[in-house]
Amino acid sequence: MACPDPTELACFALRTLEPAAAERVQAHVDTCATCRAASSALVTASRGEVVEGAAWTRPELAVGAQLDRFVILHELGEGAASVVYAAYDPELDRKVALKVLRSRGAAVDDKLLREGRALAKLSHPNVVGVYEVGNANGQLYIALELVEGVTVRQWAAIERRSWRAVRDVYAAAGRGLAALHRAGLVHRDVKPDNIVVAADGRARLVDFGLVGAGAGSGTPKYMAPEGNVDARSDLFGLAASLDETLGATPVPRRVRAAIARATSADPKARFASVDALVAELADRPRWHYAVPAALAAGALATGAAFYLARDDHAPSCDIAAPWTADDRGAVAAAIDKSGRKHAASTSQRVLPKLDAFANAWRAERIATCKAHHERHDISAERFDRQVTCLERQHRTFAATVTRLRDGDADVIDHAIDLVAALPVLADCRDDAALARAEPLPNTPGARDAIAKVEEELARAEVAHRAGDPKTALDSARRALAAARETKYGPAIARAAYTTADLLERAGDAGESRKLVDETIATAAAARLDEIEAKAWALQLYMMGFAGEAKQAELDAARRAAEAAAVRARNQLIHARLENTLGLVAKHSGDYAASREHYNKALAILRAIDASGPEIAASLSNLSVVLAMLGELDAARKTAEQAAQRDREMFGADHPSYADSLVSLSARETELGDIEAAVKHGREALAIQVATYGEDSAPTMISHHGLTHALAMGGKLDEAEQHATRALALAEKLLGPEHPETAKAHLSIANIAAERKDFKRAGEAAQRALAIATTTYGPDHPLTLSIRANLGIWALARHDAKTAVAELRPALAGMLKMPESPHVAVIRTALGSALFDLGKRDEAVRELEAALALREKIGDEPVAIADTQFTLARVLWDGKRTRALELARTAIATFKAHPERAAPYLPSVRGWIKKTRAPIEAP
Amino acid sequence: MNDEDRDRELVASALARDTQAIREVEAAVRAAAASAARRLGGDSAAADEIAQRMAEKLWLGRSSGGAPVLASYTGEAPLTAWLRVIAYREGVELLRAREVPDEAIVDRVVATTEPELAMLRSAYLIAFKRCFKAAFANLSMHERDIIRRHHLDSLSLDELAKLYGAHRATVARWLARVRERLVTETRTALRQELSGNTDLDDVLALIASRLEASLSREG
Repeated sequence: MACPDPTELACFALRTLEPAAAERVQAHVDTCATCRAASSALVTASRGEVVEGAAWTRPELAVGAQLDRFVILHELGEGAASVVYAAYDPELDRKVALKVLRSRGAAVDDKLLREGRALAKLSHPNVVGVYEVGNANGQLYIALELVEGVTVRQWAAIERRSWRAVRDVYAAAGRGLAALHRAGLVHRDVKPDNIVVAADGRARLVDFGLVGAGAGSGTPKYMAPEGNVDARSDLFGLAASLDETLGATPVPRRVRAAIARATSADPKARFASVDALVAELADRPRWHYAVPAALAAGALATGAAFYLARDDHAPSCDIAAPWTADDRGAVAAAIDKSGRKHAASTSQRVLPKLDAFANAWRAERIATCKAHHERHDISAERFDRQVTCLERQHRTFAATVTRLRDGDADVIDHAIDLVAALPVLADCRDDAALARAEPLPNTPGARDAIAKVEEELARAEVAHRAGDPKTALDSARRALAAARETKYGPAIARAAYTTADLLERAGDAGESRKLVDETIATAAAARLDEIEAKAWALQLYMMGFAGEAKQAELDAARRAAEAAAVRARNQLIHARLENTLGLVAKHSGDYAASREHYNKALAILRAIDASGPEIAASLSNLSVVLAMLGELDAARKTAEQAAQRDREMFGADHPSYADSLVSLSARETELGDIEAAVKHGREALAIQVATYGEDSAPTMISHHGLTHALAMGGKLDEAEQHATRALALAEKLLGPEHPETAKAHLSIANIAAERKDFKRAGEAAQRALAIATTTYGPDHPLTLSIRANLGIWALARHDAKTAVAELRPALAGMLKMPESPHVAVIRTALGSALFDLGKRDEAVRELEAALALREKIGDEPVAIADTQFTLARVLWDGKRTRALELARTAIATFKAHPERAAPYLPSVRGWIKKTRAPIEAP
Repeated sequence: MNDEDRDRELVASALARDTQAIREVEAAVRAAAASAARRLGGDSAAADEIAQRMAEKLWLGRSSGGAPVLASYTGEAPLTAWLRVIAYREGVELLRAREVPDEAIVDRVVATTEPELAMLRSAYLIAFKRCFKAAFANLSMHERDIIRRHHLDSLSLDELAKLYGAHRATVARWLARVRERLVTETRTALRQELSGNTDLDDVLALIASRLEASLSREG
């Protein structure tokens, strides 16, 4: 071939050449170094030699990034001057295709926005929906209907289509085009690549040549010779595309004639409208083939011979179902035998899911087999990868069935979690991700060894989800040892990750971290993106919770995790990563950031319609962090959603639903809706007692939650009954030195204090303090808050000396959080105690500091008034004017909030009487 | 109006002797010539010479049958890109730039892969060249293209990504895969060619020990 002309070579380098011509040029540059080097020279734009049309820096929008309100999910494709993403629109709760464009200057951009808005008004089944256009900080975007489908070019390449099928697609596209013309718009670039056929067969026009949005001025091959852009040139493009797609397919003569007329050089000789062309293409009672029948028959005959020749040595694709009626019966019997109240509803949830997986797996396995051996659609290499993946998923399924069949009641409690964690078959179809990973070795011995590792690993993962951490860790360690012997990277990475994860859960962070490092390196080398992403997330979690990592290190780990998650093209992993980031942010006290991460996780999970426990888990986490941010209403609503999802997933008798009720009850308590809190607390308690009996840890936790709700509601007697029960259970089940026991002591102390029995409160709190100091250390917030309470209760029983002794260390520890309202509470109590001991100057210092802090953080008016009044008391004998002023302000506040001020009033009245201060008593 | 339409109008005006348009086209020609000269290792004198040769063809049609070559500009490609192709070809002719042979890739691939390959190469120079050439010919057209553009035309990953319309990471993967194939196939072919030569195992053992030495230095 002679060297291509400059236009052709330039278009080749800038990727605007049509595919067939591009292939020709590609073949040429394989043998012509000059043309190759010349085309290379055209893309060196980044070296300050800008080439127009190539100077587009693609926007780098990470998964989870936001463009206006759209949340980016993943990239769909990239054009010459645009990138298309799948995105989620949280406002309308739907997925969209988001096309992000290169700006072409203000005037062109404005025109694009105007045209886009006109298109958004058009609604036609054969035109891809334009939802909206916008400009987000200089990034132009078009939100489009997300169509899962192939272009007509691909559609026609997948299998041989009848002329009628081709005609139908083009007639549909023609109807869409006619609608576009009626709206006064022109497509500008009709070609086989711009018509998409969806899975349901519906054809849609896409990629309208909005000014600067599509290929620009059209694609030469389908462009009308007159060079104008109008409805008639669109008609020309449609007919030229139809002609190309039909190729040598025999068609009625009149169809060829219609195409010829529509592609006339003279625009006036063409049809008057696209509608006229579509009408001409419609079926007629009689027609004649333009291609001799013998030729067509010959083509068919060779096709059949080829097919038979290939079919001779194809193995059978009759794959057995992965589980039998016996297996099913055994699982049903095991669930029934558990004797759990939720057995029936668990059966209803578990068995259909197992059936569905088994059927779908078999169908997928057969389809893969046929695609390779019968239809030859997929290569041997790809077939091997997909089957390997499916076999691995089968191992997880088999391990799950075995565990359920042999499982006791505790396993049955986790049955729903087990089936929710069954693999996703579609993951084995993701060829891009599969193709990346290191391929299996080809020797049967090595493959067997790897299969054994995967079996053991599946057992470990299933045991973990079934609530059996010891078996899980043992299995994982065995799998890891066996994996190392295979020297097969992906097996080592998988086993190392699972072992690291289980070690972390078992509290062995040290060994876990070593293994995580190894996992990351191994997974990266084996290009196992999914495991790499999960390992980074685990690393991040441990770094965040150990609290020793620098922000830069955390950021680096986060970026690495995100990058791996993007490569893995797995939204679920992405959502889990956001959830982990939320936990880490919460742990570091950045509640606002934590909320953002949980919201992102939820947006992704909702977009992919996650059916597992993930949405409820993220909702529950979000609810806690909302409560910490003081958004109590939102916290409660979120907890309600989480409970609702758990109820649907697990059933109303299930302990997992009870867990979410306990959380909901806590949010309701915080909000002051004691009635609802007690109702939900009782419901949870009933489920736990029915499932585990009276003497169990879940029952204890329910008693504890109820105690808190009842005490807040002033029902002290009932509260005390539950507190006593929780304490007895904690001592019996966990021992007298356990933190849960400390919490129970503290509940009893709080109830006693409410009853003004400060002696009893002090005794109970002392026992809690002893446990907290040994378990958490003297500086832990829980230890400090117990000391603070001890001090305050000592003050209440006029033991100023004990009060100062407890409050001073509590204050020193709390000062790490200098803006906490607790600091003001402690300083106020300390000021009061110091004054009682005659240390007036010290008392003034504490109280002034408390008052300044309360005003600074905008504390509650009554709390401010309390400090003001205490300071007034201390100052009375020295600075009477200021004292009087403070007392008047405080008392005015008390009068304005009679309910909340009630506990303070006796001492206020007593003081006015004693000092005869000229203030009207409240 | 998009960029290409604007370019077409510019060229039409220039051919109609519009002074401003001629000036603009000339500036684009000079820029293209300078860029080609730079890529081909020429100096500013070479750039001027390229521009002169281009002008003769573009405006006067010398050596192209009389019609000004500029009139053949259709606007399908951006004018700058179109001019750069012409400039590059003129530059190759003017500077009699010797095409860099595919063999030159050996050095560059060897430099970016394991030291093992460099050792094998120095030990078995001629056999190595032969095996490498065979492995190179064995690559697919696309694989040859990417490795030539990267190692001979010095395109960066981003530039390759632009050229192939693929993501940078994808291109990096392709490149790594092609290199890996070249290395493995060269090594296998070499092994076969030298089989019976007991030296090879000694050489490989030597390589292994050097490899360890270089690794321990890094640590």
